[in-house]
Amino acid sequence: MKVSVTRKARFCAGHKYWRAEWTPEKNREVFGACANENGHGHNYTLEVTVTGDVDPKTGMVINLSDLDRLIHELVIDRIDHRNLNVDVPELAGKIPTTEVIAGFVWDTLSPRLPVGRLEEVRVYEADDLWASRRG
Amino acid sequence: MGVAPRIIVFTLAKSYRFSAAHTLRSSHLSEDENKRVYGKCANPSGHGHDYVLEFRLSSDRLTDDAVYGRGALDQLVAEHIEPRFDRTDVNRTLGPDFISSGENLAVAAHRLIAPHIPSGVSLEVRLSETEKNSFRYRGE
Repeated sequence: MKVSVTRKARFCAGHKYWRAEWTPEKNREVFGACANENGHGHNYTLEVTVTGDVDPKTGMVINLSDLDRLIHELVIDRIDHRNLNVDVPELAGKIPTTEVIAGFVWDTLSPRLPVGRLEEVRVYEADDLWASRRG
Repeated sequence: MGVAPRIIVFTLAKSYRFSAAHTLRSSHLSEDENKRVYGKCANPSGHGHDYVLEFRLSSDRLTDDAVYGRGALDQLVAEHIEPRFDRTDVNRTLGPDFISSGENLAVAAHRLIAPHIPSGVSLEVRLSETEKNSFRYRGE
């Protein structure tokens, strides 16, 4: 009996889209306002979905308090109120797009899940934009 | 390489809100284990949530221009879900040993509705317990 559980968390972070080997004109053309020199920030929402069998003893796939603690200790505490271009070593040299953040969260969480399978990491940059990594 | 066949799927989703009392308690666990596993959710006098239960029905064809009738779904929910889920204590209405986790509530809702859905229409249940926690069961 496979059930998926999704836990939500929020973080706020700054970033800038800029590729150093490109000219300022090309950066501006590709990234638009996201390439503004001094950066900007977002109120992100993170959704982590874990799929697995329901443990008949507890009725749970994964204890949501444990999942919440993992999400905060491993991810939120490291990116909340940070500048994603400079403060997170795993993102060094990458453009911290919503896709890249989702990939970072996936790589950070998936080896540390005590039970179940990480099914999806979805990152909302705003109400009207999200990106996810699955499988 | 051949062209993959085009698979068309229509989905109808409708949500229902219900407010219920529950407490998390497993008869398989000792008192101490219940407190440790469920934390404040194990409070023996119970607490409650405003749940949102969403039914997603999918099919590759439409009947009377619909995956399923909204009124028919409302009726199934009124008959099978509401008496057990709305303004009740789900620990009592869903059986003496029922552990009222979001996982189990989603499975219970699926099992109550699925037998009444015509073949060819698949059912997915999504249950939101709080703004932060949600659960999905597809009958697998």
